[in-house]
Amino acid sequence: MLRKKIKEFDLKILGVGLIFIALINFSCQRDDICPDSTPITPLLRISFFDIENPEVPKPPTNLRVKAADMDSIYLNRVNVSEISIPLKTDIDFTEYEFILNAPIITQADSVSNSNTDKIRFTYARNEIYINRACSYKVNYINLKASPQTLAEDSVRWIKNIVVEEENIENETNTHIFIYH
Amino acid sequence: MKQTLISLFTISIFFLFNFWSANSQTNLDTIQYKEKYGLRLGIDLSKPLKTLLEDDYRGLEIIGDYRVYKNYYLAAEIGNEELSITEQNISATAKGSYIKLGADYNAYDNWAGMENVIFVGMRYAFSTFSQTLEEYTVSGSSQYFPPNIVEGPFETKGLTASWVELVAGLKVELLNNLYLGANVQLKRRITQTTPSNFDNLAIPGFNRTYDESLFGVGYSYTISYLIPLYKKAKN
Repeated sequence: MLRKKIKEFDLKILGVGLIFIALINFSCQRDDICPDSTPITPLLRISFFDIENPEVPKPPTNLRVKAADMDSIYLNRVNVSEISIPLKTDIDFTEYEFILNAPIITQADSVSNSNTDKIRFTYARNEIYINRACSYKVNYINLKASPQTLAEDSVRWIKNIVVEEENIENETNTHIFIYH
Repeated sequence: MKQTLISLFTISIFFLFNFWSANSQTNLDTIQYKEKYGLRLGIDLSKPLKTLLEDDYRGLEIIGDYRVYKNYYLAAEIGNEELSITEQNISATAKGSYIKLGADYNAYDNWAGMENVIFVGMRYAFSTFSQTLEEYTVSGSSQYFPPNIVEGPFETKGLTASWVELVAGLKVELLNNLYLGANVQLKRRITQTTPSNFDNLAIPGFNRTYDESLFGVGYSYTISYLIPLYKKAKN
């Protein structure tokens, strides 16, 4: 008695439409997460070479790396010939301390032959929009690296700094060569 | 217990008979029945409701359709919205007005005396709006330095977007000439202008956008009133 004469064909269109809408909605939830594969603000890649033999990579012994104005240490007592460090994205320079022969932290008071060199990296920042999940990244342009004089520093262990790539847009190439 | 069962049975029988007689009466004047043609005006109920319930939303939409021929209606929506999008690393607000123009087709074959609508439709939509970047955190692969949170607002005015919509829904005549409806919309963007070095995270009328897709979705709950202009025999 409550017979509804709905044209079957029209109902099909309606049904397919509704399912389609549901699918679209479901499949589009993923773009809220920034995937690891998306290039974001690149790190500064530094390679260490032998000053005597400039072609040969030479890892500094027990190298500690920390930003001059930070209490926490970024890298501690590493023995590698290549490191990647972050540069600040809110100001146009970042100062880092590179400590050769860094003592073990618990023995910091003991006499050691550690040698601290400070480098100031200056650059211009270019903010680039990526997408809604990853927000913005910073590319650094016109990079310069200059050694800073420390009062207690008698001998510099870093003999020469060469900026290989002035513009830091990715992490595929080394940006800075340090000879020691 | 027994008494309740008996009374329930009697009431059911009574209603059944009532239905029967009512239906046979309406069947009689089916041949002569005329359907109303006119202008139906209303609003999207979900938008004022969301305005009340959500802090970062404000919106109003006026809807209208005009029955042109049998099951075909010209349809339009005009609205104004302020939509906020808050993602983990970025937040933005879209503010502006939009208009949607198109047609609906009523796929529902009413029986005599009823004028309900189950429809599919198409719209062309156009929006002018501003996009305001409220805040963002610069993405870096190291957590060594504290996060660099940049606070706006950075507003870009005079943006436009256009899209097409596929609409499907229903309108039920609740009281005489008063309709309650619901519909879903699938949108596909055709054009848009974006702020420089930014994107439209939302567009008034289109709702939120998706990064890798031109599609968008929406829904409405509508209340509308039919202003009958003339009557025409159903055939």
